[in-house]
Amino acid sequence: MTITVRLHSILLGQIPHGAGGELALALPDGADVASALAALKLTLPAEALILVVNHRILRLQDALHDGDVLEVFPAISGG
Amino acid sequence: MEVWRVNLPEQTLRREAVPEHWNSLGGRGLLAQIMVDEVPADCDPLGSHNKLIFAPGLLVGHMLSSCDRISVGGKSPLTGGIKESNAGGSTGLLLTHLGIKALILEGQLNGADGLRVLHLSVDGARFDPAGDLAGLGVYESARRLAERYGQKTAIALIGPGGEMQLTSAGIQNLDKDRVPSRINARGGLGAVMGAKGLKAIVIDAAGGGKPPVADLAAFRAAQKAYNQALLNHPQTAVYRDFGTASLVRLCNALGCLPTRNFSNGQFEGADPISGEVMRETILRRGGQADPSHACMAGCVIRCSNIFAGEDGKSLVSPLEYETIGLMGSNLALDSLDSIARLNYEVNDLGLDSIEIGAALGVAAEAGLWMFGDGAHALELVGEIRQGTPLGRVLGGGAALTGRVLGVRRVPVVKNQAISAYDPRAIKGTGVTYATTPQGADHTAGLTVRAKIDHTSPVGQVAASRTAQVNNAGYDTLGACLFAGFGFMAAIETIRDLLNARYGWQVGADILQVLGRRTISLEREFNRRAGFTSADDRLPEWMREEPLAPLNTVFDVPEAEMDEIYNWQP
Repeated sequence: MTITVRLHSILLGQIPHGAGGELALALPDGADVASALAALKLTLPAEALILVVNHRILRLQDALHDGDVLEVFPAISGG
Repeated sequence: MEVWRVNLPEQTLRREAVPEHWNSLGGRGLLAQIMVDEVPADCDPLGSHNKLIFAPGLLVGHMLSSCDRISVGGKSPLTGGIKESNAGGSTGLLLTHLGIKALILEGQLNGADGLRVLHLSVDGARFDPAGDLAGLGVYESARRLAERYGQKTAIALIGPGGEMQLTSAGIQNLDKDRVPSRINARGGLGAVMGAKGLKAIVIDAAGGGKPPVADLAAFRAAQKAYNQALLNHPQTAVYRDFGTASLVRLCNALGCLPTRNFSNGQFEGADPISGEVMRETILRRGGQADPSHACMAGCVIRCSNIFAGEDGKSLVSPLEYETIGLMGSNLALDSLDSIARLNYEVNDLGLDSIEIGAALGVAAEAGLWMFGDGAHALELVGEIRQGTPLGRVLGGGAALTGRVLGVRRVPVVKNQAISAYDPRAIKGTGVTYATTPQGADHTAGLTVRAKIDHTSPVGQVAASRTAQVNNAGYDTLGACLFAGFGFMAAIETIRDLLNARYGWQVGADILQVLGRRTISLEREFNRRAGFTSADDRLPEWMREEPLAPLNTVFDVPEAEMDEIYNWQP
């Protein structure tokens, strides 16, 4: 399956320049959020991230589905 | 440290020893104690029995990163309850350099004498005429005051909004670059200052000095550990580079970004007003524009910014998430330039941009103007400056605007506007809005960072309680809420800093001890003022009207919310 990953704020620097913060990620069917993060190789650990699909925060063990848009934010305390 | 008590009708100052039971408090906690001890809860907030109190937090005075905040408080003319609103800038720092633990302003100046400036220095207090500043905007007033009193003073001042005693008026403080945009914004404290007849308080700390430290070596060691934790924390880089505006995309993704008067949680124009686009814009425009700016000397986070126009000249500083939420998506404005211009005008009037953004949203809902028409929104803010009846209604805030214009969808609790997290999609923050003694205010206990299902009613009261207690603790320390992530990574440094500063022997739970004590005092004041659990509720329509895109309503059980301040396990 393929999901779309959108990275935000300081994570933008962790993907190739010009990608606009968005990339397609191929994963085995039934892959969970943890495996997506492992493939992304971000410098921030999972506990420093907020992961959102369809407006809901996901846990590492939650399954992803073909066509999902995974939004990855550095966790922040608010504004 | 002393209490400086100013009798406004007599224009005299009394310097007093700090009462024993005030010693262990500062900032928001000390305000609450003074309010309970001295202010009749049934007083008219704009009358002579209300007091206006300035209290630096317990750690203020040492240029400890993000820990020099000033709490200002009194009885709120907006909520009718207790009010504390804190801000960065230099006011807190210089008050402590004069040895002031609390500045208490009592009574009112004789109106026939005209507006006054209260000048504080090692020589005491003096009152100077300020008639020439009457009706003048905050920016020009601050410039003239700095010319008159020198560039090393701190200044807390009000704008035309405070002079008109509009209940959305705040008190503005100079940042480290002497821009008067660090605002004790919420709850109408500017109106209280206006009712007292004061345009500004000027603090000249020449001849003063840093507050004493009982164990300097221990203080420096704890400071080093705390600074290191702050610098190493990934959130520091987020706030430094993208500011609080980094919340725009997150809240839009979570479906809690206030849009068109809280009728939607997602804004189709969110990206152009995001922190990411703001940073690109600031870097591209150059000139005075700066994506990383400190509001307080010594702050290593530097979450503030200077937002400039195409010509590189500052439009406003800072441009923050809450303003973008309330004056951007909430008004369907998808241009940072439009938001910045509105923000500047509202700052110059000395008003709370959250409250005015919410009021404008309600006005658009009523058909007074079309969502998305930035020029019209600016004209309406112009009505406030002119003091027209409509302008005064808007300046009275969202609740008043809703009542006058016959709108039911009004986003307020205890008459104070909800900030930029729709509580139907971030329900823990909804619990905070409903229950905090302060009226709807995210700074009382934001839960967006908690890794919980924000749309479920389960676990929200616990999340809100934790955030409320911690935040009341930070507000009592004089710490910015963003200092919190540094402290959380080195939690022992709070204990160590306090013990080193004061020679105390407090334990590792001191943050929570201070937070619980503060909230209990605030609730006691509100109880005396007539508040009951019926006031600890979100607007009824938020329990009935589903919020797109998640189509959730606020459904945290009221009985559970009523137990939030039961501190027993």
